[in-house]
Amino acid sequence: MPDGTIDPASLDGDALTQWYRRSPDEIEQERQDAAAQRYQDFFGTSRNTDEDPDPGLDRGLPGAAQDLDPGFSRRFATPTQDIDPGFAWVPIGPNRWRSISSSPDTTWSDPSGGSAVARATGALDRRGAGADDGGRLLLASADPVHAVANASARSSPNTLPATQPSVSTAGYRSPATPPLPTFFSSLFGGPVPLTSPEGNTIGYYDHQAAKAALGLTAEYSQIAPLFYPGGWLDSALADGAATAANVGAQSIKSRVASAPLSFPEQELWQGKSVARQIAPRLAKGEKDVLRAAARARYAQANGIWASDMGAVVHHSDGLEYAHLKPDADPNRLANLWGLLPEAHAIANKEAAAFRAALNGRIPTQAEVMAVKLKIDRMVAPYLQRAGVSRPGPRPK
Amino acid sequence: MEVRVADAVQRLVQSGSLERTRANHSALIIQHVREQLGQELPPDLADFYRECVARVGDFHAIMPVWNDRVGWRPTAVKANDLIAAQAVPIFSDGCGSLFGLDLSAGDVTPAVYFFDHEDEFRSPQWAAGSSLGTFLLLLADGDRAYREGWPPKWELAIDPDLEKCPRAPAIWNAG
Repeated sequence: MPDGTIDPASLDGDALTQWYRRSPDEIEQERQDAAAQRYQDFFGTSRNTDEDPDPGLDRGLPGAAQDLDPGFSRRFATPTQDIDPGFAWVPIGPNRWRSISSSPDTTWSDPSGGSAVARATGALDRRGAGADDGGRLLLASADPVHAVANASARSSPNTLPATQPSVSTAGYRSPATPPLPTFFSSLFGGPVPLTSPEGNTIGYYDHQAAKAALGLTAEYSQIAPLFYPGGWLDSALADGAATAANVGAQSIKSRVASAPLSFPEQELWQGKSVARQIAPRLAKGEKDVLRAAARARYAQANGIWASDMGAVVHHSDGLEYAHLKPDADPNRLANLWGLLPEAHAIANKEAAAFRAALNGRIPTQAEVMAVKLKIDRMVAPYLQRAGVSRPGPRPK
Repeated sequence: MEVRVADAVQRLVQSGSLERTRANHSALIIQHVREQLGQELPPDLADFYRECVARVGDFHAIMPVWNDRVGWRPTAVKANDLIAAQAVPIFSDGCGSLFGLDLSAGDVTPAVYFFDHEDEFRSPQWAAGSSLGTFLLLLADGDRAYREGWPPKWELAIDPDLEKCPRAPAIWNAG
């Protein structure tokens, strides 16, 4: 896929099963690998993921110490020299600088109330300014003494050096105001200010929220059923405390290893339908009504009957297992496909194979979805769409 | 109550619910299906092929297609696709399932049954008409009945013998 992740629609069999069974850590690792690859493809350099300015796991302090372009600072003789001696930097406020001409005839008034004479030769009043950054970005440090000294003196990306008063963070500019807290970060007190050993705020980071998000997402699937009346809680009470304990204790991997493709902790809110088949299968009369409604709905949406295009209306999510998803409308438009009869025969054959493989067992929602996606891939080339020129029904 | 196929077709043509095929290759079709099934056709089925029915409402008829240049054109559904269930497909339901005429009736007027693709066409699911003629009348009114919300068992007004079909019950008793 464009973002570097694997497209599950291209997988099949064991590969698809393994893809479904990935743990959250594996998913996160895959995401980071894809991000690193994209970085390398774009910049052409390797990138230490530990210095990812947007990490998803807690790695201590952010890796903002590395230049996005490591070669930038090395192009200059010394970091303390102006790129252009005719110009100099003067402070105009906290963490704000302006370059002005250092001509003797040029004067500049500090909007903060002070005044400064711009002279590159040293007449410039630098009391309010930090060290000359040579055109590089400066730390948002209130203490100019501890501004950037040498971009090549890189400290550990995850910690601030205790002995070196300044740290090379060229390329990183902390925001003037902290970022807005995310939903998860607000649960943990909002964005965390990062400070140097001297106590200066050098930025803000949400790593705790990012780390918590992974864990909270996994946990949310267990607490979400509490909001559904008659959902997971009922079944948990019926089964006793053992059910609640099992849900929290077992990992996805260990549970799936001994069971078919299933994510019961993700399907708890429909636990009754999956586990106990509370909802009975559709009656034959109900199916007939649904199919008539499907043909009518397809015709209404497309402006033409499927039969006029030589197609039949195919339920991508079949009616056979519609009772496993009682809250899903079988005749939602996204589920109605116009297929050539020959293509529908392909879908029928694949569905029959799935049915035979079940051997009488009730499939899980995940299994139903997996076979649906597989059949969708097989018949997608034969979709009949209104307005798209394709061979119509053969004249009789 | 038995309605002759020709009478039912005539009635549907007058109501505008039935379309015929352009060409009449009924003789070739009857011979071809006889060869495919390996047995003589029921009289109702032969009459049906002679009427050159293309579609009734939104439902397309299923029959071999003859082309003078190509010969028998390949079709998605063949006449012997339901032979294992002792039936011959005559109409598509528009969603991949089939209506088939019973071949095991012997001398009795064969009924028409619904074969579900989800069941892999193994056995008839419910009775769609006690005879081919009455089935055509019911088929023409099926979508209209759903659209206008006709009362349950409206089919009995047109086909009173629908519940007497031997191989499968009427749809309201099918479960």
